[in-house]
Amino acid sequence: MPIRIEEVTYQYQLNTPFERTALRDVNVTIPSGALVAFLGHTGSGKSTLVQHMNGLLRPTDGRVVVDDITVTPIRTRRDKKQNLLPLRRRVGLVFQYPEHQLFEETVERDVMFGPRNFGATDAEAKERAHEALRLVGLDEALWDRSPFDLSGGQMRRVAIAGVLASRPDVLIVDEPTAGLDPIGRRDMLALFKRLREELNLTLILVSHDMDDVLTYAERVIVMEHGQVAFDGDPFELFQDEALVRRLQLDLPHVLELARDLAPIFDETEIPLIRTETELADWIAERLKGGAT
Amino acid sequence: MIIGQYIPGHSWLHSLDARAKTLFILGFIPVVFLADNLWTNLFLLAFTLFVVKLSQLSWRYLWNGLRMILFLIVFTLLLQLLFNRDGTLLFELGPIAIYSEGIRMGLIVSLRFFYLVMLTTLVTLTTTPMELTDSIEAGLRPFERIRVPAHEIALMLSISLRFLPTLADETDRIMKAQQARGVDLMSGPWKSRLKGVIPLLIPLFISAFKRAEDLATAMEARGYRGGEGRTRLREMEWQMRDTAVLLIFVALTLILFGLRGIG
Repeated sequence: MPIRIEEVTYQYQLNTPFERTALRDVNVTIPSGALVAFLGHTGSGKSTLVQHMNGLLRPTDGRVVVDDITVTPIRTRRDKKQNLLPLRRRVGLVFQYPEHQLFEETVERDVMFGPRNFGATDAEAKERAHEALRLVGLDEALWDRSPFDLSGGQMRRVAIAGVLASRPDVLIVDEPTAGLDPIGRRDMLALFKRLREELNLTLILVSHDMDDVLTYAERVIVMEHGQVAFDGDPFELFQDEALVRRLQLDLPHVLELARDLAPIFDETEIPLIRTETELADWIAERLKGGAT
Repeated sequence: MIIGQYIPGHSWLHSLDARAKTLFILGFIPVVFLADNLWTNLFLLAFTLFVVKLSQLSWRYLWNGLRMILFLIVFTLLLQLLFNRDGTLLFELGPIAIYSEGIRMGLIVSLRFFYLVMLTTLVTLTTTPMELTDSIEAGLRPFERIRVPAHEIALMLSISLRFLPTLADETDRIMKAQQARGVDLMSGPWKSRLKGVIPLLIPLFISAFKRAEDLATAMEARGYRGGEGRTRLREMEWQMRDTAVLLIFVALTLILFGLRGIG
């Protein structure tokens, strides 16, 4: 299910003294099955943009086309009445700190909430909830517990299951690793990667972590002042240090280390390394080369 | 609704001491009832519009913000028109009868309402919430002798004001998260919309309690122990113009008494 953002402008608090343009004439196309990361500082407009993809926000100008659904600015009474539920079911959005959305008495019931809203019967909702809870790897013994008795990481998994249970085609995750420890972060990102492969999802990652973007994304879109400042391969971005600096980003840690090591190994360019393992292999190879 | 908001600016109204503004509004409430004829009302209307002008806020913004109140004003006007049976009968059609007193009282009541709402709104629009609570604390200070906890009341007020935007953001976030899970708060029968409030309220309460706990811990960690001996970052300064506000108020009252005599 491709997503097309066409000349979208969005203004917060229109017609008040607090009016602020969050997006300015943005054009982005995300093909089916892509793994795209949105990178940018707080207030760059990345969260605002992804909220357009499931109709939570409607553009002030321009339009958003998702498959056969078109979301336009609200101009007429009919626009206002447009039923966006089908769109919201197909494009799942996991917010930052999603555990803050939990409210039901048991884990199972909370995960059933989404499918029920989208019109599933109780039996169907239960089945989908179980499926989603298994997908996120939450122990079956916890399904009858109150979500508020769980640990932070477990709560987050429940909340993610709550979105997956609606069986979306596109999954948007806004800062999924915020507030997690390093192991929790790695597990969480691995989970999304696995979900994408198992469910054939289009995965959209909103992040400000360079390492995550480098390791996981196939394409990165950098937002700055409500506009797209870069759109392309993460390597293309991070190999151009001048560009990285101009966009006020940092190099991912593995690349930073590789860059500092490169002169020692008589290399001129930053190597194409995505993960710590690849970095270790690269160093090992150079060392071996130096020994001979 | 814009009452309670604050819009930064540098107008004369902004520069006034919050105590002067709150005193003025408190005094203004009974004084509004002096306006009972054409001249007094014309005078107060002119005064109110003049204060609006002084605030340098855009008319359009005020108009948009006060539209809800306008509905209330029209409603009171209609009530008076339809149910006041004093004075001479002017018009009758079936069960509808309009009397001269109905028109007069309707206009007077809705105008009084307008002055009050307008001026109070202007005070909150031009005064930071912090200044407002400081002025309330100053106003309550004399009652400390009869054990009114002035500082605590003011602190509670300023904390709630401080957290209003935070809670509003939080509400927005949770609402969006639940909407992403298919909650439809905008359409459908009101019963299902009412049910949609539960997934909103529970997370909101939980986060509000957590926040309160965190705040209490943070305050104690920094040695907070009530108002005694506490100094301020921003001292309030009473200036000439603030005395002028009080004089204007006295003049306003005298003029209204004078105008009541005419007609």
